[in-house]
Amino acid sequence: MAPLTQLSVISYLTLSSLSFKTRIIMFSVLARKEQAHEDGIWCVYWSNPSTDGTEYLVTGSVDNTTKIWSWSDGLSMLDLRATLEGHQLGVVSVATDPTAKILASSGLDGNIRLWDLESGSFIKSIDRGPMDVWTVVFTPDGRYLATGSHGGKINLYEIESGSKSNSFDTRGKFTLSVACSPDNKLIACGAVDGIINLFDLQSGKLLHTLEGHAMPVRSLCFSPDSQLLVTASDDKDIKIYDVQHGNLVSTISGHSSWVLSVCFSSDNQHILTGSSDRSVKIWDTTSRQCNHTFKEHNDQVWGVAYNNTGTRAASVSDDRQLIIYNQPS
Amino acid sequence: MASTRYLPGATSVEIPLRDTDEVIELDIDQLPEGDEVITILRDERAPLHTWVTLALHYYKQDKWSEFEKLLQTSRTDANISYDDHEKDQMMALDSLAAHYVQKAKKERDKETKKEYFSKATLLYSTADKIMMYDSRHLLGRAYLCLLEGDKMSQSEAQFNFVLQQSPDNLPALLGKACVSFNRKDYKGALVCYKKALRSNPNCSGTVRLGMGHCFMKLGNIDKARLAFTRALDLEPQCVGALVGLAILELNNQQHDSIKRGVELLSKAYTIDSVNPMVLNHLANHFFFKKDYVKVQHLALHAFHGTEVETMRSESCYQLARAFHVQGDYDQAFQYYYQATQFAAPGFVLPHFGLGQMYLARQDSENAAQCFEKVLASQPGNYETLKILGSLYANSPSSEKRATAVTHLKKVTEEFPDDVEAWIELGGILEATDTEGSLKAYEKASQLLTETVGTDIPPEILNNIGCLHFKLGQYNEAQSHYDQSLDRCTQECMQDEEYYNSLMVTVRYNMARLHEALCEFEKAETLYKEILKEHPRYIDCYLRLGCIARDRQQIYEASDWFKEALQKNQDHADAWVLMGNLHLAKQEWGPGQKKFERILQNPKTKGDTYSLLSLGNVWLASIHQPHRDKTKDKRHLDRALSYYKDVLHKDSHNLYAANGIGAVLGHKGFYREARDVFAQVREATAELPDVWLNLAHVYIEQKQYISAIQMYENCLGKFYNFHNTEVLLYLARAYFKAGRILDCKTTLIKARHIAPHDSLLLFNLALVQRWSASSTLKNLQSTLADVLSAVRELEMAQRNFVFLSREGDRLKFDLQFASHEAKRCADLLSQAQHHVARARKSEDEERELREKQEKEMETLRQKQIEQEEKLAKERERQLQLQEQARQEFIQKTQNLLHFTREASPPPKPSRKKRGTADVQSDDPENEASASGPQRKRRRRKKHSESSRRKEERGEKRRQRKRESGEKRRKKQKSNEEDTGDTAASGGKGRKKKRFISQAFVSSSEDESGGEEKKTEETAVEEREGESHEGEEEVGERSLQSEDSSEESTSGSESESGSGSNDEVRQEEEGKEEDEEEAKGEEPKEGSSPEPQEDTTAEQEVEEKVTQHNVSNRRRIESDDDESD
Repeated sequence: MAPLTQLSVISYLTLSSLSFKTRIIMFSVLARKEQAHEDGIWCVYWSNPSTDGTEYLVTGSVDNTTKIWSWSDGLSMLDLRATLEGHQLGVVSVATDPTAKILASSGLDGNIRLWDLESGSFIKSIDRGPMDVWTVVFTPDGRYLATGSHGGKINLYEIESGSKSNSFDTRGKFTLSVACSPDNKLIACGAVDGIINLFDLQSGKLLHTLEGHAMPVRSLCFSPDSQLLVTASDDKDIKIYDVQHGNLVSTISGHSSWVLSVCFSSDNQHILTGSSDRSVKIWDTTSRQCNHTFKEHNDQVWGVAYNNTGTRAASVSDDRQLIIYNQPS
Repeated sequence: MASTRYLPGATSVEIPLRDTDEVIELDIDQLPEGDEVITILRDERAPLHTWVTLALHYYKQDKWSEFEKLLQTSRTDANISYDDHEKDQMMALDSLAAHYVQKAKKERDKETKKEYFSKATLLYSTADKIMMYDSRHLLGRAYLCLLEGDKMSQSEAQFNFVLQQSPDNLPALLGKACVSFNRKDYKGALVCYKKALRSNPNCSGTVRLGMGHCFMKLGNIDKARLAFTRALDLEPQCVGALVGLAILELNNQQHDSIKRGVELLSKAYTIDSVNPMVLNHLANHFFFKKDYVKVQHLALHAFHGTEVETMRSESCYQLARAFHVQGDYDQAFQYYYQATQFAAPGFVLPHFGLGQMYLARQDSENAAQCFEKVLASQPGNYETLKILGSLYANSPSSEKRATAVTHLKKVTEEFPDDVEAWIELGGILEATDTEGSLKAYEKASQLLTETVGTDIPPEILNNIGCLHFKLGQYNEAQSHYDQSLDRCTQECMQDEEYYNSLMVTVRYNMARLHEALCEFEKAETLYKEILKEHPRYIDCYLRLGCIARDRQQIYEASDWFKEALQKNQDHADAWVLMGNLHLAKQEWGPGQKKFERILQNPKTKGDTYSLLSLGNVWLASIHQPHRDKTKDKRHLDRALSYYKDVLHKDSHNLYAANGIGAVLGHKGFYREARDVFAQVREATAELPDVWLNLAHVYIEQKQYISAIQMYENCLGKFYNFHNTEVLLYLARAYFKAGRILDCKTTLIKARHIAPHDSLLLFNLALVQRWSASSTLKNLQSTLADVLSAVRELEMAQRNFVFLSREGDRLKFDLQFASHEAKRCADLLSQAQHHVARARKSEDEERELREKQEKEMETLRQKQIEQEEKLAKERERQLQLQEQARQEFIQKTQNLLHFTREASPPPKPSRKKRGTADVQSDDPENEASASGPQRKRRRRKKHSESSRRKEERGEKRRQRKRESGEKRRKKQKSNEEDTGDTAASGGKGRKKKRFISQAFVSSSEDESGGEEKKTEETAVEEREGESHEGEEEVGERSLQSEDSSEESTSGSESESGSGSNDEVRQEEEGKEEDEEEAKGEEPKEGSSPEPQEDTTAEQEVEEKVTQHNVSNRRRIESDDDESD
């Protein structure tokens, strides 16, 4: 299996139908954009298909820009659609709403900026304090935007008005990561001290506090069926929790450095992780085995993302590359 | 011949009676008692020769005492009043002497033997006085010398003398041969024997025997055999020949011949049951027959039957061997020891045995000496090499281990099929040469499977796994561990206990492997499983603790370590890990106690790791913010003494060297510190602290580029680019080097990694404020720059406001943040002015540009006019020429060409004039404009990017102005940081261990995990001193800077104030002089910056001149076009 992973898009096109078959079952690199930004890339988000069927990838970088790419699966091609400027100290997090219309980006400057995903035009900015904004996520209903802050508070902003509508207080430390369950019931957040809190999104009630990690949790993600929560931490471990009871289901280890980003596949089976050890790994959650390791980047991998069907994966790194992989189903 | 005279064939001896012719006839067969004869002889005054004759007869009849008595009395009482009596005297003396010699030879008691010898010597000396050179006498003497053993050369001289007189003298020849043989001159001996044989073909078998021995020594076995057989033919009872033949047969090593040899030996034994040679050989035979009682009996007999030391040593050896085999090591040891005392230098077997005995007594040192002796006489002896190899393998001295390696390598070279040797070699190399060891083990296992045909023992599989692990080949390690476990379960039936314990080791190794593969989950379960079965496996607790520690689960880690300590109070590693946990949490006191406890334990007294950690604690103490600064020096000295102690104990300890470098740095000896660090880094590239320290020193020495490189490499190599502390160092280096943009990006990246760290935010805001204010103050900033600077200022202000409320009090002074916020606000209030100015200057520029364009237009118009004029002129000239041509056209055709060619000249002149116009235009148009404006106008035409570059350069220059102030802020913050680093400074350890128990090695190295960190930051320390007063200074100076900047302009004041900062840093603590110092423009420190400035200006000028040229060209081309 291994040698084929190195094949690039072009060689696939020239290969015979036989190799086309192999492509389907292989983990492989489908596309690679070198120098996708002028500096390291910190985040990536793969949108749902928009009304016209286009899938967008959004990347944010230290170079203060957010870029919108469109992905055409048939051609395995990435096209730069727009370069958005406005943030001043690097773009920390990007997200699109479920309908793939609005793009939100957050920067180190404490700004959240909203853009039109298709045109790339600026809609509005929600200006907060320097430590009040980190990871941004849309709630599954697309009405709110959630982000963590330095005091351990998770704030919900209404998209329409841009004003703060709700807030969950963890009484903890700086909240690095936030995720909403797809069934719109739960919101989870991970802090620099490794504490993870689960809230009821509607009532604002704190459901569980998970203390499995003791180092920053930079990324967490719900499974598509909203049953599991996967967390990635600087302690090199990935933990999977049962959200109903707040139990630890399993711990997966294998990265040799911080796990910076994690993403659940739509099949509820696979998870994708990116790490400081420069690798991207795909895991099977039931067997807890690593299915495949991509070593395509030569710097730490800050962001990973699945497309909505879980057949393609993307990763971005400090090496300025944006890479799209094939995930065999 | 002499004997014939005294021993006639007669059957009786006549003693003439005194004064008569009568004789007493004594029948030889019925000799009376000695005393009777002596009385007769004395009474009758018998002549000496009668005495002698009678004595000889007694001798012949083996009546030794009569013989002796007779001869003794004859010396005084015999009648020697006749001619020729001297001969008889000689005869009497010599005979008696010879008799004593014989007796001495047979005597075993040393004392009596000596007595006999001295008696004989005395007699010979008496004889000497009578007739010195009688050959018979000389021969006797020579034999005496020969037998006495140590007078070999004397006896040889005497033999030679005799031989000169009569070359065929048989006894002399034999004697000489004997001397030669003893001197190992076997050929010489052989020659003598041959001569003797030639002169006396019928001589006895002794000659043949001697020849046989010579041949044997010369390696000519066949001839030796012939000689021995011949000797036996002549003398069937000759024991020597029998033994010689027997040895030859035995040496044949074949069953039949051995049998024959033994037969011969038994025959010899029946002939002479006390001959030690025979006894020894028989003993040897019975040893192989395993009849040890007989061996003992015979050997003991032989031992008592000889005085010859080599013989005795052989007997002892036989005895020892017998006891050895029977397991009576004490007896064996005694006899071996005796054997070695007697042994001839070439006889090393007893040493070998003794060495084995020492081994049995666990006295490896003496054993090694014994084996060394064996090796000395038998270099390359396979068994000895092997034994010595394994003996030295466990030696603490690295030198000895090295010899062990060479020995074993020799063995494996010579006998590549020796599995044991390969395994031994592998075992020794484990610690030093991982790859070599691996090869040895692999060879061993290959041999085991291929030639021996057995399975590879699990121990070896485990060891191979370990070695793969060490080399980072985790997959191979995994498979070998698996195999090893399989084998263990298979073998479990045989020795359950042993194999179970082996399995535990293998599983522990497996867990370590999982850890290395970052499969912590699996590793943890394995460790816990092991602990369930073996709760005393302390390493498991430690590893579990380390895993928890690496996850920052400090309390869990501490629980594990405590559990380990419960099992074993004195486990140094556990204490170390506990201590490190304390140090990591900056709990210096408890940490220190843990290490001191290790040192108090007599078993671990002088543990270098603990000493080093204590040194680190003292070093770290001077990074603490609330310390008694007067004690700094003492603490440094304490740290230094600890480091020195470590180096004293282990001269290769890099960590101690690093620590010493850090102390040197703290004391301000930067060059020395740098040398130390550089050396350490040469020795190992795996120590991040050295990289950092080197970089710190570079900063201190103002080599910012090197420092930046060092920090960057360090970040990439050790920290995956995510250590905020190092990022902060890097940012600081960038700042000092004037690379503000890089500095900012670095800080942003650090912020991204640790967004909660308000110190980073503070630093970032400072940099923003700083760069923005310098942009604002720069009169040449463009409007866009000014606007973005204003935005940055706003953000910085917001951040400061935020920090003044929410910042981390432990890391910096919140007051300062609010002060900074105020300053930002001030700047912002001035910003409008700057914006207006920028806008104005931009407008001006635009106007200017328009004006210029207009001028250009007019200029062009003018030129066109001129051109027209010129054209007219030219036309007129042409007309003139045409006329002239018309005049001459009939004269010659060629002239036409000439005039045509001559027409161009006006062109160059026109060109010149064109440029002259431009040049003259410039001053005309810009007479009012100042120099810089002129430059700027040119720049406008330059490409956008290059303009930016230039401006950036200028910005940079300005930024430097404030760098000092900012730097101080950072230092202050860094100072806390150093506290952090120092915390980790104490941490970590690198105790690599390779434990091999009965060939089982477990890879439990670094049970302490972690690198040993010895910090560091010499750099900040000095700068960070007395920062409280310093703040004030910074502000005051900055205010005055501001005013001076506003009043003056240009790079002059920039460099001036920049250098002021430098000076202030140097003169920290002397605030009073501050104002004056500011006024001055000190030379030192300021030099690099102005230099840079000038180069930057040069660049600008270069570009300007280039521009001039291109402008000119464009104008020319315009001209051409208009042409």
